[in-house]
Amino acid sequence: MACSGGESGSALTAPPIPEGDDNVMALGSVGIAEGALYNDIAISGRHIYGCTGSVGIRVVKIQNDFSLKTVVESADVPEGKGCRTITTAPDGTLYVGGQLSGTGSWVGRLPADASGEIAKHITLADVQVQSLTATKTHVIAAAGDKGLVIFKRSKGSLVEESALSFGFDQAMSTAVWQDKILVADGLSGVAVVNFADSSAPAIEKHFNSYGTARRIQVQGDVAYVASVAGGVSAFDLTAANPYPPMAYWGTHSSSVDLALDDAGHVFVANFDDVSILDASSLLESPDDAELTLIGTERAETPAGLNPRVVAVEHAFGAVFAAEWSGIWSYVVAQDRLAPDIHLTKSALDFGMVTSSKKGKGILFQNLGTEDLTLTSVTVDHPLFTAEADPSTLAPGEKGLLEIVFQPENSDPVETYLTLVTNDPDEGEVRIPISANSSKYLQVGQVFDKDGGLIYTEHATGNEVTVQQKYAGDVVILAYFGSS
Amino acid sequence: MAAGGTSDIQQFKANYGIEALEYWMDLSNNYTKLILPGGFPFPIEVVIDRSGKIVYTANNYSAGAALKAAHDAL
Repeated sequence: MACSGGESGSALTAPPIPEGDDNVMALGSVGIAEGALYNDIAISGRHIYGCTGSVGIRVVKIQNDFSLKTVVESADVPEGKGCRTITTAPDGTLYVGGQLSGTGSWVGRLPADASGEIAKHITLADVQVQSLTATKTHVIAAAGDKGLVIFKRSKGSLVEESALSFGFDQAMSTAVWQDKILVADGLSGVAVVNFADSSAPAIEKHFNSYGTARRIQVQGDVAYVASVAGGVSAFDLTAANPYPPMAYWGTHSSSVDLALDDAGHVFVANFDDVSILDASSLLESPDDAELTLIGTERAETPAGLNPRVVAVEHAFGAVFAAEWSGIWSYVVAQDRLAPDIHLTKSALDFGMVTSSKKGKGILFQNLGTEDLTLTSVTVDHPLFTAEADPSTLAPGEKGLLEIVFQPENSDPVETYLTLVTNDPDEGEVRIPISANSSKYLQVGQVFDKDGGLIYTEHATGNEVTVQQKYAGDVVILAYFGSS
Repeated sequence: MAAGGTSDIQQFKANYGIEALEYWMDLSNNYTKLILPGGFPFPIEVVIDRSGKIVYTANNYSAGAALKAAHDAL
């Protein structure tokens, strides 16, 4: 959620920029044990502390060349369901929180000694801590529909000082501005809480934001809000009513976390990828401000699996992002222009095809800063044809890939659609295609026995499965198509 | 479940006589695993029993049939 210099932070110089044509490049990565997922990261000194769902806390060292090395595989967290959120205080101390196995949460202090060992923790009954923010004097817990819980930092311990339980939709994260706490409050936008008296915080007002407000960061008098299935909005906090935003960037995916640097960049954990926005115009000409996409970088995952980038940090001139299956370091070469392909689907299933012909489409978009050209679109199977229209896209434009299947019988088919592009780091994109396979779930089967069918809560942006949320209940699940 | 804000949802709630739904988004395209052979992508309706097993699927919203399946599973 936040980063700080902390111990030995000054030893790293600027990250190297690799040779090549791309403008966002990976410098290193580390994985995670099978079955475990990263939920959040924070940086203190030269270490990244990763919150995971089932292997506790992992500690990763940022090496001199900005590659990454795991130094602690798994440090225990208090009893419960792993670790959900982590943040860094201005002095480098980390605070971390998670869910208890019943109802309730724990919040602990984590010394910045790279051990990953929690020094002390407290528990909160009936509260689900969504995220933490630490100042020199306080730790603020955003607690969903239970609002805020505010702790005083006292000699290494946390002492609950106050709480504000009413008036929130879903308090998802907080940022401090002057004597206010700004709360990303789910579907209610942003709440402004008077914090002049920390023992008696009070909501002053709400202002709207687009989508479900999930994360908030402040720089100067501008608040940046990341919204689930929305994008990033920038609000002028000095305005009587900051809505509508000074600038807005509509995401191609779902913006679940963000980080800022001093050079006017916004780094967005955007589920499908890390997206980098240029926000410098907000500082230079606020009346004509824009949030402009500079580039994206998609974490590599096995073919057919969507990446899930859930947390992002900026430190030492580099970007660090947590995808469910790993942590990545990136560098941005802003003076380079590059095409950047984005596909709306990473796999295509035709289902059981009983007609003589069936077509399906995938939208593709150029998220880059130069023209994108598809030089070849092929399917490695004679029963399929594929076509791209158009084959060249200017920055920001969208096109359609149409794939047609003409079965000769009901035999199952599994193959790949292969795209050859001029995207510097996705020169060849392979998409699994299947047809006539019986992969669909049928009556009598367990719905998500491995928790593999993952959804996103509209109100919070949190990942959930039916198994996690409703095990032991009877559930009616209805799907509506969105327009 | 999944997506929201459309008249489809209002109609669904009216048919089922419910006030509130918990909305989830299917950003992982899970729905592709639930399309019946030859069926249309939406709507999809699934009833899951207490042990996690699917006891009913349909490519439509049939309040009577789904509710019967749910009551039978209780």
